[in-house]
Amino acid sequence: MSDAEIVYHYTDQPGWNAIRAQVDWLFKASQPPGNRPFGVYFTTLRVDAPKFHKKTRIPVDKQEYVFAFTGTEGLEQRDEGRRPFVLLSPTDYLVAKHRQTYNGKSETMP
Amino acid sequence: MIGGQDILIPCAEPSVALDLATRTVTRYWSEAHLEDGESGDVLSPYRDAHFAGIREILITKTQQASDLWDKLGACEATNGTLIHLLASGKTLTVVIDDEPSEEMINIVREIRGSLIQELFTSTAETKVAA
Repeated sequence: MSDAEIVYHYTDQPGWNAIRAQVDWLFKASQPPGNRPFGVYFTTLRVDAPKFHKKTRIPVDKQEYVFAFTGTEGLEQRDEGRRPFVLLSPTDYLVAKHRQTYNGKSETMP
Repeated sequence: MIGGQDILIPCAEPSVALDLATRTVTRYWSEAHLEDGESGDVLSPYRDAHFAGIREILITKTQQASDLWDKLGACEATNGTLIHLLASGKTLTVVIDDEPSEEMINIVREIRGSLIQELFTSTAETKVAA
């Protein structure tokens, strides 16, 4: 995976406000439903990718805002065979300002 | 939060695995709607689907369920209506709900069974050919 690759984190308005309040974005790890690993999840898919809803299973209200940044350092591409567009950080994940490319409404992302 | 759990099943040949898994799902969901996960192209009805070159298939229980997914995404109304298949190398990944229904668990169990049988048969054929 290229360091120049754009990575996305989708969220709702409260999540967007909380994360963008800091100069460096801090994404908080949490326990997802079911048996999936603890962590914070990212994707390399843009919201306008074909069948985004079905492929990411992100509820619509959690797709309204997006953080986009470059590079995948510290992120795990999960095991061979798992969805290749899903990335995981097993702990809180910090994105310094120089890596940030966009935050705001998903539908207006350039 | 990205949803769905990924279940990895070893397979001999990805396109065969996609075919077998799709046949299994459509036995449960007779009105299933199929789409190429990469292009978004519709593959339904099943008899017209061609798996050569396809690496991802999204199977929804019905056309209506597919439309709901496209409109609402993951929500209570779409729960239990989508199975996402991805073939990569010698692995078939089956993506299902985080908290799957009994029906989905049964479908995955049957897919796993048919792929293990295929893997065994394929290995046996390779040994005979050698």
